[in-house]
Amino acid sequence: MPASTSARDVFINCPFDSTYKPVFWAIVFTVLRSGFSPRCALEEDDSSENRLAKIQTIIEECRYGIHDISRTEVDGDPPLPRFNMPLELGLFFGAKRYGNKDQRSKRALVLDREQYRYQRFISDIAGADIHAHGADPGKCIEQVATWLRTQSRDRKIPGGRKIAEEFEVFQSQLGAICADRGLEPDELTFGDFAELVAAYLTVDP
Amino acid sequence: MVTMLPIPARAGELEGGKLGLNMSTMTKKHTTKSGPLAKPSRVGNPKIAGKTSDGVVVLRAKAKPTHFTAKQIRETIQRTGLALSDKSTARR
Repeated sequence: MPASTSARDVFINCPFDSTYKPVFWAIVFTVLRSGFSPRCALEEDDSSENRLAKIQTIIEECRYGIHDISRTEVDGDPPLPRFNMPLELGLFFGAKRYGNKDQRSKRALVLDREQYRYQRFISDIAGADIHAHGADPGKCIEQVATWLRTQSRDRKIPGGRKIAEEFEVFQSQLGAICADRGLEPDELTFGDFAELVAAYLTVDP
Repeated sequence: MVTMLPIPARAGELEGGKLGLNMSTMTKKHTTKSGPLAKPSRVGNPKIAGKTSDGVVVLRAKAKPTHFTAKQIRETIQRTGLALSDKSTARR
């Protein structure tokens, strides 16, 4: 029996390596700032659970999906493409296409570095509106914030540029907040980061 | 010689089959969403962390923090005075 989706849960399908981390954190910050709840494969560290099954469950439970396919590029020897993000994008599209009424209400935002690069590796989604962020966290925030505001229709949610400014300030303060807890920013787990951002956005000092 | 018999999916199908009846049409159908095979779903009412100064309701992520509790990180941010709602220019 397919689970119902949460109208506030956003599945973030993106790379999790250190190079991409500034963009990932920018997306998480924007999702929380826009009144949504971020979810991704990192939310549970349980080695006994099959990774794909975990991702499928999260996709099933999320109404919205942000898919960054910018890291679909050849790597290693022999050079082969990294294909996890397009795979999860396909799962999301599949749930929307074949799922129940609730699953069919899914909405996706697809991001890439350049607007038409995807046509070279997943041309089947040609015609979809792909948003380019140029690997820039600020530009990514603008794209995500605009899309989420359209989905929520909440006029209180600020524009992408304001959220990008707030994220820049937040980043400059993250080191001090972490230091107070005896941590380095790169030690934060996804759960730590999301809780910290939620507190940062709402605490009245 | 061992003969393998097909295993019925439900007991009712076996008994009904012997009598030439379809037991599934004789009982009231239950259409509840939960069942023994249903996965536990974490979809429910979202937990609210609070409100921003411009009135946006901020939700808590389902992922739990591992290096601190929600209370501890709120206290840290209050103590350091680095929250978003602090509008002083010192933080910029």
